[in-house]
Amino acid sequence: MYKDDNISKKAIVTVGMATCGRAAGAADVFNAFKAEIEKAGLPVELKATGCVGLCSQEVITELEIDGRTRLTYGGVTAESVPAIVEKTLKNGEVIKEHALYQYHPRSAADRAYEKVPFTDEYSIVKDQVKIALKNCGNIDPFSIEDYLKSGGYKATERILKMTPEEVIDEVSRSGIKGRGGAGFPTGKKWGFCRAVKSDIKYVICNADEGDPGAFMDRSLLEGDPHSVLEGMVIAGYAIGANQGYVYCRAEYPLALKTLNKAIADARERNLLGDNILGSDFSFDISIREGAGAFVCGEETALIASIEDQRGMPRPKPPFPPIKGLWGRPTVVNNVETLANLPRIISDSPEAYASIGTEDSKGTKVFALAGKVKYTGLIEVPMGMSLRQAIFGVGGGSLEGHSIKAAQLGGPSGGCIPERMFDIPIDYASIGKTGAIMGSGGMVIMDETSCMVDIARFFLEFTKEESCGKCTPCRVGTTVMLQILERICDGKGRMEDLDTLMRLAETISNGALCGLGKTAPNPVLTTLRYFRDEYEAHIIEKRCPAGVCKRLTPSPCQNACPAGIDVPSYVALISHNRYKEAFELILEDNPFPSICGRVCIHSCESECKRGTVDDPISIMYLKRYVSDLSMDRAKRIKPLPITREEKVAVVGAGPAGMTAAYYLIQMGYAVTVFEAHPVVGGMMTVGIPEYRLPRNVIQAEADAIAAMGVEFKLNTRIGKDFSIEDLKKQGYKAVFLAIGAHKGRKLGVYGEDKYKGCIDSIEFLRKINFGDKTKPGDKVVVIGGGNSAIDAARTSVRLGASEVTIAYRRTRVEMPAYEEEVEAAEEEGVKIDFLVAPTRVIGNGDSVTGLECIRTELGPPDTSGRRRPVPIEGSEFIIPCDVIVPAISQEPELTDLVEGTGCAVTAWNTFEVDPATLETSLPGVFAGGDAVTGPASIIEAIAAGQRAAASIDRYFNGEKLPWHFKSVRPKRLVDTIVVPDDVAERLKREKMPCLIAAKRTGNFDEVETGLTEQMCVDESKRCLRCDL
Amino acid sequence: MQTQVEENLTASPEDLALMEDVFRKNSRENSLMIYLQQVQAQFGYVPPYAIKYIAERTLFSESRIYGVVTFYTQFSIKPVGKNIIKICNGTACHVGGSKVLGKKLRSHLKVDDENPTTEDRVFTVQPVACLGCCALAPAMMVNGRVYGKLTVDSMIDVVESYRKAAELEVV
Repeated sequence: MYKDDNISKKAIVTVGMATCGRAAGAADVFNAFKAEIEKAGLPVELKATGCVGLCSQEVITELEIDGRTRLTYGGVTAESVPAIVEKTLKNGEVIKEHALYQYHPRSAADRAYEKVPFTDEYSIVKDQVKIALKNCGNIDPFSIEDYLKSGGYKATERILKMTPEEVIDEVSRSGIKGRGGAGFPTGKKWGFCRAVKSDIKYVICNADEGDPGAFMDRSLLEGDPHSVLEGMVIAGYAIGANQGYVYCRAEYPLALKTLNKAIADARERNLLGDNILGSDFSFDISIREGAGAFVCGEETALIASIEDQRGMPRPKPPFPPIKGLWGRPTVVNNVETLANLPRIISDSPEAYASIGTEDSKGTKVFALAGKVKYTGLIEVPMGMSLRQAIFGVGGGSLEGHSIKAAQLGGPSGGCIPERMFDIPIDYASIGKTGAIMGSGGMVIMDETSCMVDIARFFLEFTKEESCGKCTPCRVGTTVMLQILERICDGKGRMEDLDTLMRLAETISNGALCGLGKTAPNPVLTTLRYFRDEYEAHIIEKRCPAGVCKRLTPSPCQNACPAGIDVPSYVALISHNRYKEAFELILEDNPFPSICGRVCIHSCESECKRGTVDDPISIMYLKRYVSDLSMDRAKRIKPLPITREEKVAVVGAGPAGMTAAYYLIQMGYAVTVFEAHPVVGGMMTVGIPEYRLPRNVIQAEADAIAAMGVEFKLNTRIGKDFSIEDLKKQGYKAVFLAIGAHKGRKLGVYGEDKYKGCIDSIEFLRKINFGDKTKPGDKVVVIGGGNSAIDAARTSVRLGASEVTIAYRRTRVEMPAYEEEVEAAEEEGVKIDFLVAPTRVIGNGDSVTGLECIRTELGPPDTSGRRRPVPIEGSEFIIPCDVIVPAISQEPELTDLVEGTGCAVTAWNTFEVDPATLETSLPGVFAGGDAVTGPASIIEAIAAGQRAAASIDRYFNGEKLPWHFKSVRPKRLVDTIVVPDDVAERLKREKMPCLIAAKRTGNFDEVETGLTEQMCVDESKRCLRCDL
Repeated sequence: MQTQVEENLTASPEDLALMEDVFRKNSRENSLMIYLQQVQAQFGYVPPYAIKYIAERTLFSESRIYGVVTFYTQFSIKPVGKNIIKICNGTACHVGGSKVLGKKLRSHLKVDDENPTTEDRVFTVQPVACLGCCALAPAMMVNGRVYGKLTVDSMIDVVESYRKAAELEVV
């Protein structure tokens, strides 16, 4: 930072006072510092600087005390200023909660601060390379003195001793390309303009930064306006122009202020105007303000605006360097391009070219915004991967949702999906994805953003901003927008997607200017990479992200795979209408008591109440009303069979039994074949009794049998019968719901050698089918999902003295439910994090130990989770006699599909049409874990619903897929009035559980259920998002 | 139903003096855009008499001037309120919920797209595509000052503080 030489001060304090800083309260912070410093009578110089780029940490204050390193504080408020003055300025103490990072000492004399990371250690800053943003945050933008001290206008001195051709040559050698978005080589553009003979030429700085989501140019103009002006001087000298214009949008009032001051100061110092620095080169700059037209960012429209015309683009050629403003040769350059030029000239073009890739030299400034932790301005070298920029510099996801896409290039750009984030940031690589580098806007989207809505949003923007001159853009964008709005409204058709593609082609080819030509890009990229979202909107009338209002009932109902009308049953409970609530649930879910105990409850994760305090205990409420009617089987009479077709369901798990439940209601005769001696599928095999008692499963299965569904147990497909046999027996349709019961192998030596190494599903099945012998004394379970926790807690109950779970990542990444992990630890299970198995050790045919290696978390893999990396030489052995791998499962398909020609995916699951669930064999459908791999009960139930509907349509000869109808709301339950004092005290209740001592040695249900009063109180917390 | 704010069809002597001032200060550049921007800043909109005035003193025809005024969103031919509120509709703000804010603001002030100025002429709500403060999404600008990280409550608080300030001035 630059001290005012006239004042003898012992310290400089700067406050970031650009627009963002001010909006965050920087003016108040500045005034507070002024007052405190005066009051204390300290020799401190207080300065306002431009944007530091760390928008997420505003307000930023930097302190440079004599003899100490430069320290950066974030999150400063006017209230925290007195403490900063007292502790840090006066006594040199660091205030922990404000300290972000410190700079390295400038000389040996500077003492560093303890425990504060340096700039090359602080995650947001360490990988950035500041060339364009070099001065932002370091100088007072209103002071030409500061700019000169930073090495400013040295480039001007230098070029006056060169020829214009030499200047153009240096710029070309640097490799810099236009930073406005198109990436045209700057030296080349200047060369074209230089070659034209004309007395009058112009330089225009395009400061009309209109891309929504971009603010790089604003920060540059507000933080370091002289660098842009000097860039224009260099450009003017190179091409032979004497007049420049800065076209700055009116929405940037502070930038206009800094520019005006800078121009006045530069004129005063003979750095602008006649005979610059005594040479015979004259160059002056005027400012023209934009008037709120995005299209004026396009160079010919911009030129028209300066010419006092309506801002409509003109055909190119002729290009502006040949014929531009008022018919004269004109170079239009972007703010960031210009800001780089003084550095390139005063350093060297080779230094600039040494950064970046073959195709793209130098750095790029990005405005990182959206659903990312550290929003702000970042300048990174070309070639850095997108992933590094978003997760490394940007800090990754904001609210813990998984990041889905990055939008680059504003309305002309496109959305790049997360799986492609490893591409390097350069013009060519980004262009290949269908997006463009653009001017630098980078908006991050996560799973709560709807990609169809995003496309619609951009089209709305371009349609508004279209100048109207050419038909392809004016009419084309309007029609594309209408189609997208229809899709978001639930009135889309599959043909619309083809229409959009055709229109996109026509508009790109026919439009007059860049705005029109690139307007279809957001639609094209979202269609290319997120087609499934479009299809969900069109076919299922569903918005997966829960954004499109017409398609989203309430967040909870939207999140439920089975589409249960959650707000209505919660409301019924608040009115004490438990039976009605139960019957409502039963419409969409035949296993409410089971789900009320072990569901993945995505509804609760989306519950809006959860953003205020805790989500509604939807699962526990479901359990309460369902348990009241658990014995319903005895009151159910068999339903009449009205259809002649009969259906075979293979697998009495949740998917199979649900399909049977609906098919029998439609009047079809159904037989469910089950390989095991008991029903329930994975619910019985995999889930321990202390979570899901056996009588609950039996009661709900009995209710289905009572409706008239036939069950044939101990009958295994592939062994006792085949699909062909079913056809021969007269079954007109088959639903394969065989689940995923085969455990995946660890892939370590010894896992098949020893008796004590048992896959978790096999382990749990034995126990859940009644074999309660103690498995061993020391048990090690490998994995981090609910299966692993189930295996561990079961081993404790069976008397193992030591039970350890070995998981290769940390607690944060563990997929198992938090309540389960806590319960396991309460029961004495030890969890070893960052441990991966390498070898099973045994003696004879018994296991004696598990050799493991410690891991650390590296960069994220395709699932978005950080990959565990083994630490060399850290092997150790856990002594044990039982090892239970619980890492994943797949369906046992081979016997079933052999010879049938049934299509199977690479993961060994059935390949089906996602909308109809039909396999490649006509009349044979599949669903549940057998299709998706291990998932959840509620997803299996949803598959059962869909299979039943598909089979019904198949029999009726109706076209598959059908188009869902958007039916919302189906019903409206009255609200309940909750007095304020009651509302205030209601909090989510903790589920009453057996204390740890009471759980040892038995399999009694641990969670005992909410009481009636707790349920009614809980239901009153619901915000009724469905209304 | 809200009544349309009255438009001044004739210039008062004070208005004419302001126009003279604008001309004197900017005749060196002699740019139509600059004249119009100054008029917009001084009067809050571009009155019909201003268009006439500029046409009489320059070579631009009234129809040409009208064409420019209606092209750019910054220029308004209807009078505006004391305080101009612009809710940012940029990408980051959109993703941050700007649509809801816009709806709530308009219903709170009882204005819509057709009639964006409140009956008491204290507020005008104008569209803006992007304010460039994306890290503070959702954001809005009132009379050139930016407010970020808005919620419905904080937005209404800010707006009401301007109303209070306007009331105090009148007194």
